[in-house]
Amino acid sequence: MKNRHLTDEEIQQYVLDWGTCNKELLAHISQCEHCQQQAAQYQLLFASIEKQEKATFDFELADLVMEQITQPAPVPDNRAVVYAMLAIVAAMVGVMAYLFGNSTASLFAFMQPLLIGLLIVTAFGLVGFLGLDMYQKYKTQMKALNFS
Amino acid sequence: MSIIREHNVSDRTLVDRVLGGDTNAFRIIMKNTEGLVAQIVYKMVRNPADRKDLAQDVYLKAFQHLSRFQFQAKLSTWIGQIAYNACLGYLEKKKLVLIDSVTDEDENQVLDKLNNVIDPFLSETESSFFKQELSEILKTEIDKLSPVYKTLITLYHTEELSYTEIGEITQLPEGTVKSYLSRARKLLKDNLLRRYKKEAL
Repeated sequence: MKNRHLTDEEIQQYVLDWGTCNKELLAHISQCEHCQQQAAQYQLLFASIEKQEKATFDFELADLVMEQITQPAPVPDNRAVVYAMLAIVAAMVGVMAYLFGNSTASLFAFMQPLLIGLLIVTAFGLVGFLGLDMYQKYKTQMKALNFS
Repeated sequence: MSIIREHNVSDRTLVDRVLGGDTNAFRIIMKNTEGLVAQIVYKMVRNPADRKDLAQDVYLKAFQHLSRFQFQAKLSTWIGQIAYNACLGYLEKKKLVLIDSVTDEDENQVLDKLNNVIDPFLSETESSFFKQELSEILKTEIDKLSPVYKTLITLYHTEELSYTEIGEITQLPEGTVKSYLSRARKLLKDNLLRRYKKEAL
């Protein structure tokens, strides 16, 4: 059994979902008047909050909004275009690999490891820079739309 | 089919209808989610005129960006998120303090009420009156919490949303939601007790 009193968080957990409490906690609260009193206070508080009247708009929100809504511009479904482009790119890569696969492999075989390293670092750097730039633009746009 | 799945199907149908040009379906979406939006707006914004403008803005934004809704959460959660962000933006724009304070007049009114309700020999009628008064005192105490705290309390205890859903609306990690809620409940309980003790002296 716990020797110290339960924290507020533990008491709240006990009141809201005692099934998730560990045995030690349950054993303490069953014998501790102080913690039982705290639990009772929370119980009363939660019950009172639940009984609070729910806020409702004192105007016809739907009518006000519907008056301002115009027919939305049809959203072009550009998924098909994206898939088509991806398929074309994949096909091009496939053809290139088929035609020049061996030559590319031999090209890398003759390149100095230092040069390969340099190419990889440059490529990663470029991708990182473009990715960061894209993310910043995205954040700015989201902020402008008040979505962030 | 689970309840969540059914809800998503219904969300999807409504969204598809709106995107297909049926604006009346948006009215249904509004009716389904208005309660949640009202809770958020009322807890975060005091001025009635601003509430009216904000609530309209929320739905106009939702309508304009509906094609971006990806069904990763419930539609109500997504709209709740727009409402919460709109209210946060409003509070920032107005440079309003996040922790509201009640006026002395409000405080005196509450204390007057307490004077009347704390009586050890309450009859049944009086007891019912006490409950009503307690409810009003609690309402005042909830209003004194910071906008974020009172919104979290309302979403959890009144709207009965899960920690995950509240996290999605407020874009706070679930652990942070739990921690904030715990602090808000403790604050609320302590403030209520302080009032009673103050009165008893």
